[in-house]
Amino acid sequence: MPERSNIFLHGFFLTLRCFPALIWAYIFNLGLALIFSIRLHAQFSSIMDHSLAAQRLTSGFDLSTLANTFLRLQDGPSGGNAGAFTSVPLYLLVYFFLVPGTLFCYQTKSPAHLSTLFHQGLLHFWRFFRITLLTILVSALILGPLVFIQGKWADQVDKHAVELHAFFATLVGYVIIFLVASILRLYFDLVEVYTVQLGLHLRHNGKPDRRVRRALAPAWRTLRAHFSQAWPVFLFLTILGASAVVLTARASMHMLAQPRVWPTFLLAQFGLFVLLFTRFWQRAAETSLALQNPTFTPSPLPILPVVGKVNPIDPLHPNHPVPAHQISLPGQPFDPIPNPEPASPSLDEPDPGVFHHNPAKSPQ
Amino acid sequence: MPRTRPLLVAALLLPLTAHAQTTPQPSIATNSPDGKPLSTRVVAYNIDAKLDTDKKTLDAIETLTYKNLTGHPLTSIPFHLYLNAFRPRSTFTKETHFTGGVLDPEDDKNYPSEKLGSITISHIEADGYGDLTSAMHFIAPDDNNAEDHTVTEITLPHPLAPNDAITFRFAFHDVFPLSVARNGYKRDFIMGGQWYPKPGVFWHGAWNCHQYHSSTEFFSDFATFRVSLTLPRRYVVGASGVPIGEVTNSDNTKTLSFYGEDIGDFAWAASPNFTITDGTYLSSLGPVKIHVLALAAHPKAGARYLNVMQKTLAQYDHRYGPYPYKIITVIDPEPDSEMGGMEYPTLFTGETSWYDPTYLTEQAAEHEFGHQYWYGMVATNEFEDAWLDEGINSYTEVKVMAAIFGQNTSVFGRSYANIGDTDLRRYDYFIEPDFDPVTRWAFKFRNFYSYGVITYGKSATLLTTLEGIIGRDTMDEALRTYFMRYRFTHPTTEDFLRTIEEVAIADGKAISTVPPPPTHGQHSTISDQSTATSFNEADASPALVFPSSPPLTSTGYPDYATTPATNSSLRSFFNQAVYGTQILDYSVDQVSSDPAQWWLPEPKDKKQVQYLSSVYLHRKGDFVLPVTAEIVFDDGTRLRERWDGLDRWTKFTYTRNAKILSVEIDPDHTILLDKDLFNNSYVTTPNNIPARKLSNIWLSFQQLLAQLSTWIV
Ligand SMILES: [Zn+2]
Repeated sequence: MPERSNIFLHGFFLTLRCFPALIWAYIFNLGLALIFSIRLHAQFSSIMDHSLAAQRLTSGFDLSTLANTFLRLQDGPSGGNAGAFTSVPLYLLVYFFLVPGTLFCYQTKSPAHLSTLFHQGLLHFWRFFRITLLTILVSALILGPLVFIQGKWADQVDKHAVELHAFFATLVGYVIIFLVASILRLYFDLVEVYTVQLGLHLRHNGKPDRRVRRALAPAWRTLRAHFSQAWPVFLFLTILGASAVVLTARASMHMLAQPRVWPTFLLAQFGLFVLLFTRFWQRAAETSLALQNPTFTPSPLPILPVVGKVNPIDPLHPNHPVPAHQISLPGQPFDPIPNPEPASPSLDEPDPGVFHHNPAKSPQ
Repeated sequence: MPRTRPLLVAALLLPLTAHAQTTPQPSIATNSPDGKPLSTRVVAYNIDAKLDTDKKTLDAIETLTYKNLTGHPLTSIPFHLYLNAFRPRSTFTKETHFTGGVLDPEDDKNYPSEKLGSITISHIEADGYGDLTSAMHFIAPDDNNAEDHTVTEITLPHPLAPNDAITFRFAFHDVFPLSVARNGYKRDFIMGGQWYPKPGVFWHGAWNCHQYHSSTEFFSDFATFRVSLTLPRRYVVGASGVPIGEVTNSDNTKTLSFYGEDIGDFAWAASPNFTITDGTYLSSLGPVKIHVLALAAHPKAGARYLNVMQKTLAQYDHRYGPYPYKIITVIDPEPDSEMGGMEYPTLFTGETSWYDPTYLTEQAAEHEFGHQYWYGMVATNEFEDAWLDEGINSYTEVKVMAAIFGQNTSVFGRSYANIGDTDLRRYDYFIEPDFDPVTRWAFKFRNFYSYGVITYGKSATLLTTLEGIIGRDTMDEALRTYFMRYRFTHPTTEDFLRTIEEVAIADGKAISTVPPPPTHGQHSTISDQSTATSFNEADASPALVFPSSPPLTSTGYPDYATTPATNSSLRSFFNQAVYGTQILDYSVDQVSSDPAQWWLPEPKDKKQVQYLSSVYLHRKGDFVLPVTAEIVFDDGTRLRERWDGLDRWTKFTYTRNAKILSVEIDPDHTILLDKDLFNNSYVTTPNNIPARKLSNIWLSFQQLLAQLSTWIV
């Protein structure tokens, strides 16, 4: 690990190294949305494919025709587009599994196979569940009062200023909330990174460290010590992703009247991909920061002393055989850690941490 | 209240108008030819008001002379006290709470104190009647709500004889609420609308003085107003009528005076933040000053309002008749207030914001100006016939907006997306199309929402459809005839419909179903008083004599919906579209073209094949209307078929050497009342670009939402 590398650039390279993780997230993002759009598309088709009235959407984009389509959908016997948002919670669930795996791959340089990602997702499920609950709780405690104050501030502004002046005055409040929220997100991102880092560590009882509690302090220390480095990077990437979405959405909007759909599709997908990319980049930059500020001194990582064909990404099952065809594939990128190429681990054995979870013991 | 026709009123108005003719004076506030009064001025107001801009209160002395032109001795006179609606127990607030209204529903238990409004009459006296303060009591003619104080009645100690006048002197105190609906204050902006005691209208043989309801507007007699308003010097004021004086007082205040005539109401707006943009439109009766008071926070609004007003005045002058007043004042109300988009005589409030890429700013101005015609001059009863003001005005709005900004671009017109006002109003209608007919009394609609979509959306759509049936020129002529005949009167739905029938029959666009009238000049509407009010242009020829009102239902309402077509061939349309709630929906049910000799092998030259084509049309709704269908064949032939629509379906068959390419019902796109325009046509070759466009947007939106949701992890 370079001693003090630029987390922005290092994060970028980490993201590229674990590119498959990003690709998988994107595939799920697009795929789930596609699957849950099929029915709606069929409804659109049945209304419009053979209708002259729909032509106002071919070489133009008449908003009343659009509105009438939705009015028609509500009339349909199928009761409109109920369940049309199902892809959102499903993607959230998938993402929930992908994040720990991605962080694991960032930290261990393991290839980001889907199976690896999901396996790690399963292993870290309860840890990340707890972190997410904590994130929501802390955010509510901190942002709640801020939103309340913002409401008061907006009322105050409303009494004295109108329109553009009022807009900017209230915008200041929203910007402050956004900045605080970004710090919270950055902190809990670091908690997640350290949680995964801790998990690579075996405790005295020989089990990996699953204590989220123990990641809170290192994340806080690192955030404080490197705030001026980490926060600007985080903010910049957030704004970069958001800008990509806004710009491509704007450009797509200006292409609405064209009698072709694929350019708009490609443009919108590009923006969405950049948004996803910047988020993964943020997590990689945070990983880079955490790797430079590890929770423990030179590590007894179970992956280092390799004896035989130990599966490095599955330290819980060190004797799990690595399929031979994974080991010596030609053309594989050079990996600085001279491990055998890891296998795609199967989930043949349930993870005790997940399936024998004892709430009384946890989270100790 | 029963709708009886004002047979006597017209005759009884004649003495007054004759008097007005003998003493011509140059008109101060109108461009009336020869300075003649344009209206039958029933009331003369003289109000001296002092405004406390800190407390948002007003104290005034109102001298009001009411002329009894009713033909009856009057023993009592009801007055509107609209500001009393802004109390938790008023009918207005109750209805708003339960069925919606122009304001956000307030919790009854927690009616905000700053939204309390009131008007208190501390003293009334009348010449020859003495002190009448104790003769005043609140009444609630609509719902007997004893807590509603929006109508007060003054019982006269002795009757006011026909043709006599009574002069009241009121001392009253207004408390303006933080704006709830149409008036009140927001920040340092104050809107004086419905702010003074105003008598009801003696109409169709009885007093018409409804309470203020959540969905109702107003109704009043024509009058003259001389109003002076004292307020701090830094305020800029716009008001109905023309400014006639400004006096600077020693206490850092000023007194502004205004005079209005031939108007039914008087409103003013005051703000220290107004910037003034003035212009002139030269109408066919003379110059009209366009006086725009826009907020400094809306730097572009002044020019936008002025521009759209120039064009709107020209459209109205050209299409419907002259604007006879010397001024139109445009008020740009304070943002986030409930006072935008409201009409008052010769003054209206617009609605805009610091960023408006659409033409909604222009639409609001056009709409409210339109009310100068449909409400201001053609002064229909807004409580009972809201469609005659809001509905006709929404129709003329979509017409004028289309003429100025384009049919499909009059709300938003960019190269990448567009929407027209006609389609926007039509869309409103179909959100909730079949609960109420347009003719329902405004406060008897199912709820405020239905009132809105039907009164504005359906009216505009049905009149646009009617225009398709009788033709654009006939419709414009009918509207113009209606305006010229009924301006400065209080016509009813039948007055309007019969004018359309008369013009349509004369133009050969409708067939009269009654024998021609034996004599002329018997039409029995209030407009007979027009000897004094007509302009130089000849009014339309005397109306045809139509049968009297249709039979009444058991509930006492005219039974228009089930009566067979009377008067003209348009009645079937009126009965369904105006008096009824029927839904119109025609569809192309099935289209096919198959080889007539299907058992023969396919020949090499496809043009030799004879096809048997069939088209099925389906009437899906309960609204029956004759329709045209256009059938296009792949040899370029276009055929038009007519179907009376009486049966639920019909079939057309063709044997030709060509296949059908497309079938379209209503190929000229005039029947906008059709609920589903997509099923009006069938193209044999599908085009899936529209569906893919929408699916793509939906797809990206879902993905974005999904990605944003992951920020909690
Ligand atoms: Zn209106």
